[in-house]
Amino acid sequence: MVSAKDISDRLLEDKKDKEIDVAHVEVVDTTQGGCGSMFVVTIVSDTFDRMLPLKRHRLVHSVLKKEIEGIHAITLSLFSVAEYQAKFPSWTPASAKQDNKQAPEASNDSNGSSK
Amino acid sequence: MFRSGLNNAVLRSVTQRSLLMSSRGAGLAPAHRYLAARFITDRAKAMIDDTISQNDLVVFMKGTPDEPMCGFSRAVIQVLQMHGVDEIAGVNCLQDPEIREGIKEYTDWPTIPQVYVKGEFIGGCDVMVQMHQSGELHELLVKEGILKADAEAEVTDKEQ
Repeated sequence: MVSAKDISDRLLEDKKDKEIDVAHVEVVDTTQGGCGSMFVVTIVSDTFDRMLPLKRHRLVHSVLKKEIEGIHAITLSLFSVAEYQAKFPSWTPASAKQDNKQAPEASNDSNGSSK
Repeated sequence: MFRSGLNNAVLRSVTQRSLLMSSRGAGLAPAHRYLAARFITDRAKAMIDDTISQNDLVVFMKGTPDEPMCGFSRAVIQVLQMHGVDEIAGVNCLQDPEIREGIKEYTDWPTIPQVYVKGEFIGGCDVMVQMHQSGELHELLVKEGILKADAEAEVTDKEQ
């Protein structure tokens, strides 16, 4: 059974290989029962800078290949650092890194329902 | 002698197959396409080939455009309808396990729905919604002639 933590761990582990240089990751379990587990994943990375949406998705699919095989659905929101800052002006890459260390599950998001 | 002849024949058919695939669409590198299509059944591959070449816009989905059976498929249909697309060829993957698995390999994309325009893979639900929000989807639909000229005014204005 794949958990939100498995997904965020995989993404942060990948940070070492720099396939996706993750600045911020948020995984929310949105499983509602019935079909199987569902996740909403937000990734902020400069790897996505000037990369088309399709290519960003393919890159994340390749990193999360094993996890995706074990779940029903995944929604990806993929931002470059600049794009994310434009959306959330108070956010800085430095604060995000600290957040990830303290709460890798990012399960404090109010939207995350289920279980 | 016999053995090498056989090997040659096998090799030839593999080569032809990979050539066939590399000539189709520009969405993926040829080698990637070949690998992705290796385990797909011939029937599924032929069906997908036919469907995306015979229809300008195809959605591989769960359910039908009139009755989507999954929130992600529904979202894609709604986005397309919002843009005024009235002819959507939907392929119901729930009715055909070979297509359901085959389309994932064909596109090298792990999830359904999948949208093809003029034989080329455009994206799944997230990409479609994102392209809708950024205006790229409208541009694409107009450029590919899916939307008629009267819907074009807005984009043309923006560009000029």
